[in-house]
Amino acid sequence: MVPLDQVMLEIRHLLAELCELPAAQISADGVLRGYGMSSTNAVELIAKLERRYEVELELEEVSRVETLRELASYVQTLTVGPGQAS
Amino acid sequence: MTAAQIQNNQRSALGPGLQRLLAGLRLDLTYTRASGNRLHCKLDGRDVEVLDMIGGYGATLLGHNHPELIECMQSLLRDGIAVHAQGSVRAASGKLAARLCGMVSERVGGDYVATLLNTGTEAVEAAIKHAYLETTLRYEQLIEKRKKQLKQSLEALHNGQAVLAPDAMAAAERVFGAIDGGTEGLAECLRTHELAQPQLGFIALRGAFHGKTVGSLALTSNELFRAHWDALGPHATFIDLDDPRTLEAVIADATLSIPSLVKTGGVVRFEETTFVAIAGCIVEPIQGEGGIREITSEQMRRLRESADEHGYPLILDEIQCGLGRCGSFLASETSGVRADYYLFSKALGGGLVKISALLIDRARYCEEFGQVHTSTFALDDLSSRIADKTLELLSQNGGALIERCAARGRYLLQRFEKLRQRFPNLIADVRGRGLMCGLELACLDDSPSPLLRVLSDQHMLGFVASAYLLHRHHIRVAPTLSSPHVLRFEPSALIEVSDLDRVVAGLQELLSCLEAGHVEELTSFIALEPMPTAAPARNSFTSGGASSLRRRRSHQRRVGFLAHFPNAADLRNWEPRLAHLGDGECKTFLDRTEGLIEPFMLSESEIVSSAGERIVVDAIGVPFTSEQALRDLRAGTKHCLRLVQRGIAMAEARGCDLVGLGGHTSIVADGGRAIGDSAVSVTTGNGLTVAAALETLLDMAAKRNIQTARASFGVVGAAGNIGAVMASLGARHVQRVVLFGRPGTERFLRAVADGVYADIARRLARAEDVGGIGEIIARSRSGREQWRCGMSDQELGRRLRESLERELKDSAPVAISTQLEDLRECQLIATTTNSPQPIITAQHLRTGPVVISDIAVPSDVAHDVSVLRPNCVVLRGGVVGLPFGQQVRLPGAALPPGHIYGCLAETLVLGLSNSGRRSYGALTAEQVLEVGQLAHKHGFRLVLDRAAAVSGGGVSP
Repeated sequence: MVPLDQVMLEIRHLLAELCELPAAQISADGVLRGYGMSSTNAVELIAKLERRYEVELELEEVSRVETLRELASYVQTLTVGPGQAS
Repeated sequence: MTAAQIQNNQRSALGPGLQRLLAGLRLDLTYTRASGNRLHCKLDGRDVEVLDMIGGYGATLLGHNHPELIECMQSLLRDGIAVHAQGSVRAASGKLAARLCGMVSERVGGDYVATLLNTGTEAVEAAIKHAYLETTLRYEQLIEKRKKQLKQSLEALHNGQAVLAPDAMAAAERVFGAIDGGTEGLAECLRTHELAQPQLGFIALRGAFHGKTVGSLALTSNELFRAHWDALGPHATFIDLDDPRTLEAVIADATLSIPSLVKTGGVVRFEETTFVAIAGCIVEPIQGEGGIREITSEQMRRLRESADEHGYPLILDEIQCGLGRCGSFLASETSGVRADYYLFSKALGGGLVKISALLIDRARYCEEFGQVHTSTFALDDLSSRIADKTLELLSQNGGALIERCAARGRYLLQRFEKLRQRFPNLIADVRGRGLMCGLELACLDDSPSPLLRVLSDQHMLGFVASAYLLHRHHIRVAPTLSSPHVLRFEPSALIEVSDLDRVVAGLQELLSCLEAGHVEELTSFIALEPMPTAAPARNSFTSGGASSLRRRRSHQRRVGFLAHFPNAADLRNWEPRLAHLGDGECKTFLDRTEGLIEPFMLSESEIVSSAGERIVVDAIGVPFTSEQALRDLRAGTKHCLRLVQRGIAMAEARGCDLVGLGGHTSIVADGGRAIGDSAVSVTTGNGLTVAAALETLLDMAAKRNIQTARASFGVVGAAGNIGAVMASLGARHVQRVVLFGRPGTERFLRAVADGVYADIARRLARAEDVGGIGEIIARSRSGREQWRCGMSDQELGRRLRESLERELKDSAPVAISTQLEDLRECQLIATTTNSPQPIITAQHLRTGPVVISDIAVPSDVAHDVSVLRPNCVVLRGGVVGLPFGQQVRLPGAALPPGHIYGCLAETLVLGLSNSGRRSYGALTAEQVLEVGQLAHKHGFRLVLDRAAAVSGGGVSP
């Protein structure tokens, strides 16, 4: 399983790119809607995450999570070994 | 220490909640020096001398740093006195105790024993403990006596030395019910009758403030302070002295009956002794925090009589009002009532040390209390000697300083009374005695300034007035916390008449501003200095607009609508008196006051539908900007969500059963999902916004001679909920739909395409008029095949899509694309992405006629498209026309008369239709169609002229 901190760091950068914000502005416990996340760009984020981690994410699950930390935890559970994140 | 370091310490380490509150109104000044009635600080870069009318909440009766007290303290420290020598003879404390007890006895008689402590609240705690102890002992003595009487009586009956009185058995049966076994049975009843330890309670007064530690807090009336700790501490009942029955009722509830047998001569009688389980009655002769309210002499005498009748001690809290502040050494002296306990603190320390005293009538004093109630710091020599010196100063020249308090107080109250005559509508009351005065501001329900109305309604006026007097007149006052409309004046005894004149002059200017509604003058200092980064304040002292709720008329159908400031500059639209503020100043103003103000009423409008139905809409302002909402979400603090919830609660209290979430109130509340349980329905308004956008798009297409039935409809951001619904509804009118998304989102776009196909297939199966793409499918081989039944929509759509893609190749009626260049084939476009920047430029569009419905916020279409593509019309959409051109008064909404945003329109439509359904969460095509039909039924216009249609709002994602 990829360490949570690493997943958070990587997702933070993906979010920053998507929402056109400096990564440093995205906090682990901030509500993702505050960065501009919605059902529309959630799919774009999923696409990026699926490419990065070679996993398949459920839109419903991603829509349910509120924060970067929750999202990273969900993604982390889908990664079964370091090889998948390399 | 630098100013930045001081501020940082305050924000992070020392009571950050209170500091944030003070910072909101720029009351967070740092005073560096003090002398007499003056404090010194830096204000707007200048050294400023401030006239102190707060007086340490009564602690600086002798002014700041009284020279004789300073000399005394310096001398003591130079001499190296033994400040701490616990467990020894404390000569200084003894001298102080004797002086204080003597000064009290001189005035009211009696003989007192002092217990010295550190603070006022600690004196209250000690009083609670002692009162509880003496009452418990009194009860135990009563029970012991009853046991003896019972034993003697039973022995006398048994030995034949006495006979049972003839009525004794009947009297006993009224208490115990039927008694078997005659005298023996009665004896058994009395032996086994359980006398549980009574629950002792205290009597306190409504409006009382006695402190905030666990015991004293229980005797403090303000529920705000007690809210989380009500289960702690002693039980107290708060009585209203204006209604004598409340005292009688408390006594009746606390009265216990103790049955026994009593032998008198040769007769044993059944008797009931009563015991009132009240440990004490505590009273401030003049309530301070409660709003400077004096207890009348008659009320005081009634409390004394009740205490005497029922045996509990009367405890007078003279912590703030005593020691001369009110023109007599004891504020209660004038009533002629003598207390069993007296409490002193504040001024006792001479403004230099923390000390308090509890004086108890020697006849009541329990010796053991002195052994079990001790404190490390309570008898320190330094504090005791300063307090002793303070009492000496107060006694000098026949108590001249106390007489000075009386005279200055009379003068100040006379001046206040004249102010009241000049401003009868602005001053509700002036009251107090000596140098403990209050001026109560009236409610400003009719002020021409909306901001002043809100501040008044939410009990913020006293705080704003204090800030104004500080910044504009360099006078320091504060409202009383339990009665925030009351400004409290408690200067030192050394105050000069000229100082009091200065205060009155400042008040006169304050009142003139209030009278004229000059809120710009009253708050001008707020926007001067940007707010340091900090979380919003949580102001517990304001309340959610009581007068707003009073205006409710319950017989009308009513909906609520939550609006906020989209941009800080919109502050100027709401409050025209702040029109002179620049954008940056508006931002500073709203950043500083963020969290200080609760949701408030913006307007109340009645709308009549074309069907003759009537509905009232309460527009409620939720005080945050879009930027603040996003900042709050990013911080994960949920302050804005709390404000939205309060706004919904306000609407509910006014009788609304449906509330529309406008703008970012919807984003903060996650489209209504984050609201939690609520009796009212909420709507985001997305349904009508989409309905109006589509109708306007099709109408404009017709006007531009675009043949819709042959057109291609591009949906940008199609993988999102709104885009998917747009695609599904658009497919009913056009020949082809192209779903656009970013690379990597193809599988979601395919799912949307499947949804579009499934919708058409189901409608074909029901033989509905499908139009557009439906006709193509109906003619195709794929469409004629029989996979219509027994399949989920998802499966049906997928199979139909795959079949049509095999059959029609690139001509399949629903296509997906990740290249915006493919928009060139589209004559109709809807776009609804969350891109922070415009994504559709002229080069993505065909040169022929194109109509774009852009309902994204911020806009998806580049600003120059209309210039570079003259054949292109960009509709911003999201605006709806009200029936008969009526208006909803929504201050600051920059729309033509008779027009409102879709979210508000949907709220009205659903309210008029009384549909009772919640409209949040994922939007469906059916919801859009339904709300669109309802809107038409009630005469709302979804298709507007171009001027209105090109400028509007959008959907909440």
